[in-house]
Amino acid sequence: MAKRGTPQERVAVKQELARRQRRRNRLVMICTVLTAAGVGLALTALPLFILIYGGMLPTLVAFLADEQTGRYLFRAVGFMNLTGIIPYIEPTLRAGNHAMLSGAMAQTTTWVIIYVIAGSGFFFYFVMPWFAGLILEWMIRARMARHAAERATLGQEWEFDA
Amino acid sequence: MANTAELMDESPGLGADLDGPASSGRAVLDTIFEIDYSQRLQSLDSPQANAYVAINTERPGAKLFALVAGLDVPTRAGVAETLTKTEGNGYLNVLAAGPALAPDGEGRRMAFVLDRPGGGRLRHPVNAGAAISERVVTGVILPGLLEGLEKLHGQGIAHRAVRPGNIFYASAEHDRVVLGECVSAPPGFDQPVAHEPLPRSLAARAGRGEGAAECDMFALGVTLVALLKGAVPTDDVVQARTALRYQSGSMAVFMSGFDPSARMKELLAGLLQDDSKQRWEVDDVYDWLAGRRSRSAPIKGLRDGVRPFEFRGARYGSPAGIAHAFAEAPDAARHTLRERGLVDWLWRSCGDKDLAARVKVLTHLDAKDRATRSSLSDEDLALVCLALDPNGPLRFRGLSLMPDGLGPLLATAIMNEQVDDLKVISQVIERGLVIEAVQQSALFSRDDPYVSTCRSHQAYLKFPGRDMGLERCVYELNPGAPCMSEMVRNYCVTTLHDLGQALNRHAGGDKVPIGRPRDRHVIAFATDLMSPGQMQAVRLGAVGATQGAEDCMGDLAFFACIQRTEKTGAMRGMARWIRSRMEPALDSFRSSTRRRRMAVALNHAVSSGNLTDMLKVMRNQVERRSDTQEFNVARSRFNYLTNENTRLQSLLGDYSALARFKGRKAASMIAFVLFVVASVLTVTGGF
Repeated sequence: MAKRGTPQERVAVKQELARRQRRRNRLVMICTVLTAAGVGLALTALPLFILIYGGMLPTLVAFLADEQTGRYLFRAVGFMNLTGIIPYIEPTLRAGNHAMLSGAMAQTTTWVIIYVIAGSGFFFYFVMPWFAGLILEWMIRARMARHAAERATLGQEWEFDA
Repeated sequence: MANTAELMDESPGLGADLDGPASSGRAVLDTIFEIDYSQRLQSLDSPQANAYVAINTERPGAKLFALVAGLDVPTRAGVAETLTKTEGNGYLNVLAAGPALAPDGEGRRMAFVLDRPGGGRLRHPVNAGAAISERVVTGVILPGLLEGLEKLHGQGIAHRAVRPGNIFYASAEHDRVVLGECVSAPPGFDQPVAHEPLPRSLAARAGRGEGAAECDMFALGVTLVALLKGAVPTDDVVQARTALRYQSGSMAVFMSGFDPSARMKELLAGLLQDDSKQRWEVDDVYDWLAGRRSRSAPIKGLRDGVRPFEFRGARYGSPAGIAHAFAEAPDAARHTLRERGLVDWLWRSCGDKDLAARVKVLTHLDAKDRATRSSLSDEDLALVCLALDPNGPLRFRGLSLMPDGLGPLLATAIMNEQVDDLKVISQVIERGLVIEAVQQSALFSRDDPYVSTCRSHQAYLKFPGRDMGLERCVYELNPGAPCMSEMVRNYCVTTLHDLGQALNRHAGGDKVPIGRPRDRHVIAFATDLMSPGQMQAVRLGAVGATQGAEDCMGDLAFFACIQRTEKTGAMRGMARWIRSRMEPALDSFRSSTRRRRMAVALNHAVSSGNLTDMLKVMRNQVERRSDTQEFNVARSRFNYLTNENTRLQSLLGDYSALARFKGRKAASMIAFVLFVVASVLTVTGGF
């Protein structure tokens, strides 16, 4: 961290401001694209627009909430969200008939399923680090045990000081 | 030389066990001579050796006897070996010499087989006898002695034991005499003081020196006086009259109260000359016997001063006499030498300006500061005495020795563990006093090779490595001397072959001996005897030994070389002893598995008593290289594991960030995989 008032600090502030500006611009551009695409979709296939834009709300939340490098929350929720939506969209796209989709959308279970699956993305995102921690610790301990045994053997054979 | 087979019990075809023949009371020498210990011949005893009946198994009728020496004084092994190769009349022929089984069966002793004289001893060794007439002396005794001396001197050997008690009748008719033995003790060792020329009579018994023919001629003269007169003065009397000998000459002292014929006086005057150059030789005596005119010289002391020099109330007329007096009273001598009295006396009364100048330098009379002038060390005093009496003995700190008597004196001191004498002898060598004595003495030539020998000895003492020191000096000065190491002393070891076997026997008991098999004596003894090839083999055998293992590898290489080159056969005791000291060499292998394997191989070689195999095991270069290489690899691996362990340990303390990262990444990947699966199933109609 550069000291306050120094040239480095001024450069760092400038870079941060530029980064934020770029992010804001990108966000504006995405919103613009999505709005334009949404308007187009709403005009041509209103049920599909409702399903996609309504069903992908968790992804939108995750996109807005996740500012970390890698955007793993966005990715996890996004892919799970798509997993929940795709079974409903695919027949509609294949048949070109929105009536089937309207029927499905009328059912509460459809939305529950979509959101639960999207929610599992959040679940994975928050549970997997704990699980990874367990596995990591086990792996470290196993490797240390292996090393200790090998060191003991070498120490005994060559009389190295432990 | 002696059959040394008695020592061997392990190599094939090497005769009986050391302890075996003791029960039968016989020892074998040179394979054909047997010494019968059950038959003592006390009448033929020498002062340092006991006499026994000896038998020539090839000529049982020959009348022989054996002299078996003790362990207190060195023998004249070199002279004995020369005498075994020749035969002559006039002295007792030495037929065989070498170590033989000891009379008590414990170890070996130096033994000599000689012709047994036909008659008895001319005189009792101790008691004086009745006077013998000049006719018998000149007709019977003198010709026999001259014959013996002529033969010995012709071979370059000085008898150094001519005295009435060492003369024997050659036959029962007493018509001829022969000289007794001269090999069982150092030269002049058993001579009464009177029988030694003046300078040598002042030296310690063992340090009287090898001498030369002149010494025998002087002893012959005193012997004749003793036979004609019945006796000569005893040692105490002679020593008390040393100053008189210096002043008036030895003849005046020994002839006191004795009045032989004028002709005999002429002979005795020639033989009792104190100046060795003026002394008669054998040919002169033959001329005298034949009635021809012989050279004659005035009988006088060594040097004369016009006015005597007074020291401690006594008057001295010659510098040599003063040197003797100084050595007798060193403190008083120091006091006297602080003044110019002696220098002035030498300058004015003796007229020897060179000597005066030399004494002046040695006594620091020219020194400017008082401290230097007043300090006169023992070494300075010894050098002053040498300057005053250049042909006399070297007198230093109560020890008196002739330069050529250093070897026997040193050997005797070691054999008798005379620590004080050894210290003085060591200083004598180290400070170059022997070299000084040799260079000043007229008895030695200027370029005498003995000087370079002494310089070597000086170096041995200045750089006392394990193969140096007094031990090295003693074996170089006493060729043929047995090894004086405590471990083998009783075996009278004179060859490398015997050394290996004696040490093998020493190690053959129930308990492995403590200490190194190669002590300083063993090293010095072997260094003196080993050929350059053997030395090289020993050096190569021990080369590359790791730190701490040099000693045991050196020992192994040394004895393996002896076993191989001297063909000593299996040496199980030695192998066991060396094996007990091989731990440092085994420990130089880093792999414990390899060490165990090497130890097994080593033990196998030990059980066969093969030291060369042991050396091969320990010098296996393939094993050594593998050990080093594997050790380096193992050390790298060990270091890596140590570092890795540290890293994992720290990771275990703080892995939450990594777990969070990995977990979130895994979550996104799982979601992706589920998405792909769902997409595929949807497209293929799986749902």
